[in-house]
Amino acid sequence: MSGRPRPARSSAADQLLTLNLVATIRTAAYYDAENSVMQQVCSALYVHLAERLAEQQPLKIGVNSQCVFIDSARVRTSLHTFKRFAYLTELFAGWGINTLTFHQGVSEAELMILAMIMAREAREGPESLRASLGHKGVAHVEVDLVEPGTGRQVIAPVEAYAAALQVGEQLRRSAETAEHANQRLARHVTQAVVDQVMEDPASLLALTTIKESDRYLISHSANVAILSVLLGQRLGLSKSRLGELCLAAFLHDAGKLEVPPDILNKPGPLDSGEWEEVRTHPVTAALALLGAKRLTPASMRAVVVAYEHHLNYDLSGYPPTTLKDHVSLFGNIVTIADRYDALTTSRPYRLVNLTPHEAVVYLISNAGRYFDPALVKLFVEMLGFYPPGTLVGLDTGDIGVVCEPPVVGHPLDRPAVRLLAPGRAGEVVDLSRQTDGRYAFSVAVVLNPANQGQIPAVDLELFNQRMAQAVGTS
Amino acid sequence: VRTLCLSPGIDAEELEALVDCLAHADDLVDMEQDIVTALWERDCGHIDCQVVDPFLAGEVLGEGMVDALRERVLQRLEETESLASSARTPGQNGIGLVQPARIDSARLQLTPDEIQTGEQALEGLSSVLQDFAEVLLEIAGNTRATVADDVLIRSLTGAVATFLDAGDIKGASFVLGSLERLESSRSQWAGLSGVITRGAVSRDHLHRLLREASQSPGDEEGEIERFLRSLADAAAPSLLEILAETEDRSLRRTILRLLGGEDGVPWPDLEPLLRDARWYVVRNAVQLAAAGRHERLVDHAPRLLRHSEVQVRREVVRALERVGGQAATRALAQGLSDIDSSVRTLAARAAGREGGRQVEELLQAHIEHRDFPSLPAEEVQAFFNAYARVAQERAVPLLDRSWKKRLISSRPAGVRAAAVLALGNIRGPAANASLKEASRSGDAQTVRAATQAVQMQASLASGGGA
Repeated sequence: MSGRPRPARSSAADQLLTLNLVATIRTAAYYDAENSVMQQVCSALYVHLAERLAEQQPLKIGVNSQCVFIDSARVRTSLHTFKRFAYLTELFAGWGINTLTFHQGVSEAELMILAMIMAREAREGPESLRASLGHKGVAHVEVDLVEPGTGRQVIAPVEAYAAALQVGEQLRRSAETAEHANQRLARHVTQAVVDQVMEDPASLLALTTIKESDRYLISHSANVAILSVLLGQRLGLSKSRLGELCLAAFLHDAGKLEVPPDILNKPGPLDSGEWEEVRTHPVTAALALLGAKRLTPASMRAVVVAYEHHLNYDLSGYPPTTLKDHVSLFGNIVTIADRYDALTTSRPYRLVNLTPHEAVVYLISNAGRYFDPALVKLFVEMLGFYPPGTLVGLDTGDIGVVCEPPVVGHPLDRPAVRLLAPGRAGEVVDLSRQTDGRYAFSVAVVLNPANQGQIPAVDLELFNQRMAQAVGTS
Repeated sequence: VRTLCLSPGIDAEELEALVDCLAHADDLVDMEQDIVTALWERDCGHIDCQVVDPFLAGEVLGEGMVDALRERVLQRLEETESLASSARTPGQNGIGLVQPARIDSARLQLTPDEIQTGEQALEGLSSVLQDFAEVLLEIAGNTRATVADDVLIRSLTGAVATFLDAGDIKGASFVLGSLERLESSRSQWAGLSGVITRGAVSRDHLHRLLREASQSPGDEEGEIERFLRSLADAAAPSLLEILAETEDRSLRRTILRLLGGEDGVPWPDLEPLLRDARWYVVRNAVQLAAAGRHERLVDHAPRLLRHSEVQVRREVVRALERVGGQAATRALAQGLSDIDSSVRTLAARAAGREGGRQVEELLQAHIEHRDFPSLPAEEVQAFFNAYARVAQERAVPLLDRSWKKRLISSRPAGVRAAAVLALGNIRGPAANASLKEASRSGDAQTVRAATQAVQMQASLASGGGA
């Protein structure tokens, strides 16, 4: 197919341009336009932009679903650059914009003004940004607004989560897990989950705290999938790799369908025969997933993850290995997500369940032995020290449930908490908020409600959103 | 897909991606893929598709599922609020108390090494096949699975095929080598590597590897050839097919080198090729039968020695010599009367080594034929030598007559010298006497031949070959 010829460019060039933009705006928060440091970073941005505009114009830098785009190409983030990318996505969201369009002729002075405005002025919405730019004579930078729902299919997080549970049920009922239609359903539902994680990670993370004990296996699979994708996103995986990771995580426990429920739900310690039965499930799952007629990267990863998810980082665990000298990256990711969700879910064989905070401490304590230490660090950074679902007592005497993890770059012990106390019920307090240089709220104690470890962190508003959308689309 | 929504800002690349997905929609089904996934993976920022799948269309998503989730949340919140409000202090009435652990945030920062290792792990993600193959081998090695486990066999076959599709010989060798080791340690897996190889290695793979083996210089050639050699047994039928069909001589030579090993090609794979209409296919099959020392080739020798192509007949004679034994020698006799001199020459050389009364008579008759002196010098020498070796002292009278000048119709000087030289293959008084006479004959060529023959005798006496 013929089309307008586009200059070939590398993703590294896109990354560099993004980082230049971030550096210029962040520096502008601390230095004036006359400062030599500020002038250097702005000049570097100008040089890169001018080079790109000479090849093709205009050039759009946008943010969508927590990702940075240059023109229509998603700019890959990495472990190294994640926090700087997160700064830009937060900045765009704060201003309520989704794209900055740069036209040929843009000057260094205009870039300086743009950086100063975005970094320093109160974020009062896209119109105020547009007005400020116009007022200060910036003619070659255009601001596009966020127009929610325009041209996009909107699926509520609850819908995606419930769909995952529903497909999980379907797979459980179907004797042939390899059946084509089921695989397709599983693929589509995991794609919806990935989309949601990219769109609204906090909501989906909150949904993992519902913990449907009646259908533990299904909700556990969905939760592990979501937690794995969140960690994968933090690692900088591409969208298609996130899709593969989500599918693999969703199917990781397929082998448990073969284990008798009276063993899985036994309210007490397992005898050796029962243990033996349980220990076969990674191999059973791998064999079940081998049913696909054609090997694809997704199907192969699902088999590997199912086999490895009880193998520890140091290769202890089960099944015993003779050939492997390491656990795969996806295997390590799913192992952490699996263990965290299992530890924070109420099970009949435990009288006292761990709180999410204790589960995080367990992960940290066993990093390097059971778990990949770098992944544990990222996982804790993603959830915070008090992950969503943790019931906390604050130093003000209030009780609340952690509903959102700390914003990237903020202290890890400062999440958002939804208060439960009568009178203030439903109010969300951000523990990173300070007044007069002091935090207004801090966690004083972690609570374990009815020894179940945690409570749902879901905002009931999520269910209302879904109902409103259902009405809107009907 | 119910609707496709193209947003403002869509560019040519995105449209190309869309058209490409739509154009290959039928292929996607064969790959157990679907167009929604294909579009989703292309990740086009300005194209959204609304999917008809039941779980996404609001009316089909089980309302019970969403209700149950809502109920669960409400119930847990009510329980907790009730506990919290009835407890005067945390830690009472079913609310446990946990002192927050002190976690050092600084220790949770990624180190430069961890960042580097992590980035490398991300780059390594493209090679899932190695991890997949290891898992399959672990399952094969550590479970009660057997060669009858269709799904495992199919997957291992697929893994090897995928390695080869990607030109990854190391990966394929790793799997096949591991399987061979598994076979030797676990009886239930006997024949496993052969089954996998036959299923995985296609003619296309072999073609490509053979081309590389015959074209690539240096170490790489060695690696590919070593790999091909390891496949040779199981892939022999395919290699033979390529051998039969390719017109590329270097490819044919490579295959013959690969299959011409000590183990050889199984006779059932070769036999049909002996009846092929293409002469070079028959010749190659004969060559491989010889390499494998297949005695049943002798059964086909009478027919093959009547083949219209002289190259086939020559190869049959060589093969019969290599196969050896009385039956082969009897078959060789047919070659002595071939219409082509080169075949007869080869047959004579071979017959000279094998011997036998019937051969002796045939050789003698051939030498005594009136046209014998007019045959090519090489053939003449071969027949004299063969006759001398087979008949020994019985051969001396005829050889003696052959070198001596006659009054009428004396043989050409070259033929006479050849007869003298042949005497060097015989140890005994009659041969010695004839040679002594020849050395005194005064004919320079005959005298030179006699000197050489005496040296040959000495060499025979000391255990050397003629």
